[in-house]
Amino acid sequence: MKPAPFRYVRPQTREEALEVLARYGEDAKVLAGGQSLVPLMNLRLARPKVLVDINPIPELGILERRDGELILGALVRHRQVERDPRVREACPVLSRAAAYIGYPAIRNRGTVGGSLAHADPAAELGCVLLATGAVVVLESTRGRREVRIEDLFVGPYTTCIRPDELLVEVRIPAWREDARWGFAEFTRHEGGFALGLAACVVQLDGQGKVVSARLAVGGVGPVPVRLAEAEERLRGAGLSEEAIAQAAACALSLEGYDDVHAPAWYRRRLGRWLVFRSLQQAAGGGN
Amino acid sequence: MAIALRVNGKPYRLEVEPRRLLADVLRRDLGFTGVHLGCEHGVCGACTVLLDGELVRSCLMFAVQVDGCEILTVEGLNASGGLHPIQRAFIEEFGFQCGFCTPGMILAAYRLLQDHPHPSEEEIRRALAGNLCRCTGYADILRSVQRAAALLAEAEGSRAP
Amino acid sequence: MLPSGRYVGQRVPRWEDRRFVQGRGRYLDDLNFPDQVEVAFVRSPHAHARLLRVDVEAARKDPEAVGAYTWEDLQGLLRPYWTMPRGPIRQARVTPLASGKVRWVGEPVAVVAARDRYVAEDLCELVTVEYEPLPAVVDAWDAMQPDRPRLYEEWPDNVVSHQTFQAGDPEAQLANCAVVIRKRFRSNRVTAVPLEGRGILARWDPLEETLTVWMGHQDVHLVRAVLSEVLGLPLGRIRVISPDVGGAFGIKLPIYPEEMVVCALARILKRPVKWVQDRKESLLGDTHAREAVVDVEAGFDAEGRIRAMRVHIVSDAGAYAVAGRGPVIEGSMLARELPGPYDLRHYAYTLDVVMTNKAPVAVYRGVAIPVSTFVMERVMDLAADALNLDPAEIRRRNLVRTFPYTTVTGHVYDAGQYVEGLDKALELVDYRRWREEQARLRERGRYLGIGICCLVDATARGGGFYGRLGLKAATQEGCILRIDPTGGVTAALGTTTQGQGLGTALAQLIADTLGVPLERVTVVMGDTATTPYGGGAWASRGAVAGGAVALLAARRLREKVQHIAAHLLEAAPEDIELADGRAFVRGAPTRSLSLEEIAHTAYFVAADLPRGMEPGLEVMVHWEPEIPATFAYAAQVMVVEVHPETGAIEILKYLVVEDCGPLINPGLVDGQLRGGILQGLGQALYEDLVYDAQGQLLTSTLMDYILPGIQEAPEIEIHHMSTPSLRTVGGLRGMAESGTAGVLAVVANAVADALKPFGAEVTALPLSPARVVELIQDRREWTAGTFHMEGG
Repeated sequence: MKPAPFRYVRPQTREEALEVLARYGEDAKVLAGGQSLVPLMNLRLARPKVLVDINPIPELGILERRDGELILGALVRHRQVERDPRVREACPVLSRAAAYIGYPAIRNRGTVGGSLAHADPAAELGCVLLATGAVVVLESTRGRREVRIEDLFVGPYTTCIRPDELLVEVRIPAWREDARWGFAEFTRHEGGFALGLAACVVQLDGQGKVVSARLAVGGVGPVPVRLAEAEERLRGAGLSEEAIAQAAACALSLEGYDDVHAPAWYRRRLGRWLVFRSLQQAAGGGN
Repeated sequence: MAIALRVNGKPYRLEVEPRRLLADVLRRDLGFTGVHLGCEHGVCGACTVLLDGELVRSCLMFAVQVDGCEILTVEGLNASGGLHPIQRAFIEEFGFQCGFCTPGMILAAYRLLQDHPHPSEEEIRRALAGNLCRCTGYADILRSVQRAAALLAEAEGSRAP
Repeated sequence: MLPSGRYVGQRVPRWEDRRFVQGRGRYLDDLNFPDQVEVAFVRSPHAHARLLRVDVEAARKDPEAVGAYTWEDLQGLLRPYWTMPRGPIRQARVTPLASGKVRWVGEPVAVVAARDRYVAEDLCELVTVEYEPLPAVVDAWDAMQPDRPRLYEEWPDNVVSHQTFQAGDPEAQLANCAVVIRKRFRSNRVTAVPLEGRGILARWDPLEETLTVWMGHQDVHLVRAVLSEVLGLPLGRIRVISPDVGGAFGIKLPIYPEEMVVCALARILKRPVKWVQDRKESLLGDTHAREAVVDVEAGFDAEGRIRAMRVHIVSDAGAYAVAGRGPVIEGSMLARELPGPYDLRHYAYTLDVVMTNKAPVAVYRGVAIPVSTFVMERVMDLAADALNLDPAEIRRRNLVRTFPYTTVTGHVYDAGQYVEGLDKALELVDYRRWREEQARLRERGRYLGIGICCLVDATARGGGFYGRLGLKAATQEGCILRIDPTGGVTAALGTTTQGQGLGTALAQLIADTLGVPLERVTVVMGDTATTPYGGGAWASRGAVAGGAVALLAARRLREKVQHIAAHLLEAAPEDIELADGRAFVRGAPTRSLSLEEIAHTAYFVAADLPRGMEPGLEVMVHWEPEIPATFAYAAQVMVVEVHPETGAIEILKYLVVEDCGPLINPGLVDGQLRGGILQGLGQALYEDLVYDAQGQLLTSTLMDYILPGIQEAPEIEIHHMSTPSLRTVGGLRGMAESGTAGVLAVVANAVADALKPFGAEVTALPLSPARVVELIQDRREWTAGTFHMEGG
């Protein structure tokens, strides 16, 4: 299994990278961590004519807080997301979830930008960012645009990123100190692809009633989704077991998909269980 | 493309086609056959090497990406010709059978013990979760890493003033 | 009896194999010649199709190509083949590159040679092939019906082997049974996935007209025999060498079409030709195993004793019969070993081995016994349920107690302590306490299950198991043992090793018999030029057959050394002891000679030897097992908790009592048991080769074919009993497959036991999370109040 030949380009700056993408468009693919792309290339399922290696571009690796927001450059590695104390402070649910991504060697190379652009329905990042909210910044020679995370994934392994665009960073809104959160996933084997994931971020008022809730489920359907109905139901309610269970039950009406690992009905049930677990964590007052 | 890299402490310069995997260049061009290929899609971990001190799957990188980098393979653990304590531990505790996963396992253990010289069983399992073995059933590998930690601590202790 | 000394019975580490921890193992892909070419294969994308046209012209003409070939180009150098000429198997012939039709996705159709694999794969894309797709048969039951598409059109149907057997009168017995268990069981399709894939490097010497082949393989003599036949070359002109092998487990026993093609290309190109398989090719085309449907009718009396059993087995054979092994062995063994360790006198089976448009099937660690044990042990539990007996008790009432015991299918259990082994396992695991725990947890809505299994595993086949069928796979074994003029000891055997550490074990036997330090013993295996004709590694025969000839040769050599020493030291041979590389007179240690001195006399001053004695210190021994198989026995117990919300199975306890006779090296033995068990767990919980209705393999990468990692490995507590065999040298029994043999059974039984409140029927594998949830068919009201949140 050896990759097909390609032209290798290694831009040193963002501008150079964008120029290359503008020139080659559909014929080019961006190489970030390579943990998803290179297997496909080795299998010859992906055969870009031009491979644009953005790893040398330092500004794409920024990791900083700006006015409370957490900014993650496209080249921030999963390992950094897992371990950097700034991420843990600024977005604890993200930090927790990153620990579940594959194995240490995968996390050393895999990137935030790469994961989002690859749009695996069962990826941790996509699901968690739906729960936290996020904005993805795309650049091209034509300009810069921001896409809400809700609009990024259009189908399995498909995003709205155009061929000449580069995902340069993700902006995650400021974390409220009193926010509660939860994350749960289920895999058949450690480090493997999740059969389901759930993440939640919940704001409670002084009486313990839900002011706002964001519940995201991944791995069940073709893209990660928010459980809008469940979020609505929880508003104004306390996080009792009954309330949580009812909210979780909304997962049963999700669109699921069938593959060799699990049929859709199982994924929906699993989604329900995982939402329940993640809300339980949030109710339990954090982790 | 021309690349310059260091492997196990020695410098190398060579010309490589962009699509050649790091694993193939290490194995075929530079003779480091201790790097093994078990799947070429990043799952089995047999191709694990240390790149600038961190574990990576050399089957998921192109050689052109490591220009200017430092690589450690299992052959680099005992450059002086003896056995590194981790290697000794794997022999003493039957941590290998066919030996194909062994270089990757040893490097994963090496990296773990750098951060956690006295790892718990759970920490060992987490660190080696990405290295598949089809022969041992893993129990002896776990024991080997525990023994390695003990041997390294001994060596450390005997070096203390 | 095994020799007693410094080494036998001890956990001797494999210091002589330290190259593996240094990254200095020499596996096939580590071998390279500067003028070699590498090849890649064009493979059929269709499961069943007529092959109309294969056009390699564009590839051939490419400046990067060294050559491109179809069957037409190679038919002068290669013969069609079939697995074996005799036996209960329909005959056909297949060609190493497809001709006429293709029968499975992945079947090699053309081959391209270039300077390296990257270029060879590029060139494969220039080959155009015209197919006329045919309907495929993917399910063995379906494929067996009349009027289904036939893989071999000269056959009346797709059944490659139909066998029947009857002992006693099962039908009459069944009519009188208190309980009859009627069930259909399904075992899933899996493959061995050794971490090192297959590969071959072949070099033809045009002057000498000899072929040298390097291949990671379990039986180099078999390879040579098959290549000789297929290439039409005299056996003596072929040399086969197996370098270090990164695992095999049975899939490196056949000789595959790619390997035959590479040898032919070596002759054409007169340059070394190399092929190294990639993981996708491995999942697509390494022989698969274990897919079977077993319909059972088992009758028990009111006391729980099994009286009769009738089975119909449909064993999936895949698309063709590989050379060196075939698709019929698994089905035959499943049928013949099904009664297991139980006393059963009325037994009948019908076996249909059926070709399907999927990868060919042959042998994988345990070969059928994991499946037969799964079936038999489920039946035992079901009968226990029906009769309200404890599952342990029903087994006690049925296990063989009197030895030797000959089974209805002709196997001899020469000696054993089967009931004692079960009782020991139950005691060590604290069975009673787990039953109490189970009851307690059930009240709290948690599902704990205990699975028990008793098994026997057939090892070290004898009696011309394959030879009678015309296959050149030996059940005998050979050893040439030599003490050289420096006092060093070299043993050459026809066995091989792929990680089992057999060399160490054999060296231990030899060192203790000859009284030499272990480091002085070198064991040579895996080269047809330098080893005696033997059988390689299969059926866990390494220690039994290899150990036998090593021991017999060492004893003979020891005797000779004693006689020479006695002669030179003027003592009686029975007063000569060997230790530390010296021979000395018992009680007078200063009267001694080193082995080097004795060897010097034997080789260079033969006139000083006892009169009539042959010069030299070299013996050759060949040995064949007396009985068709030597049986290991094991009792395994597993405790699980099943989580109904996710279908996850958590293993809380796993204990094995293993009786494989005396142990040469407990470290090696336990390693084999644990590794084998993990492979069994793989099949039970994670691994599954899934084909769609068109015969496309949906699980063709390790992302979809899931192998258990260290986080999935439970702690396995192993205890040993030793009932030496009465029919082997040293009392040894094989054991490398008996770990695998029990796992499907204990997992299935444990899960069924856990899910009893739901009336779950566990009859099929794997027990993936989705399947477990499906079994439960949980219709409980899911509200927080009734749903217990512990664990999960």
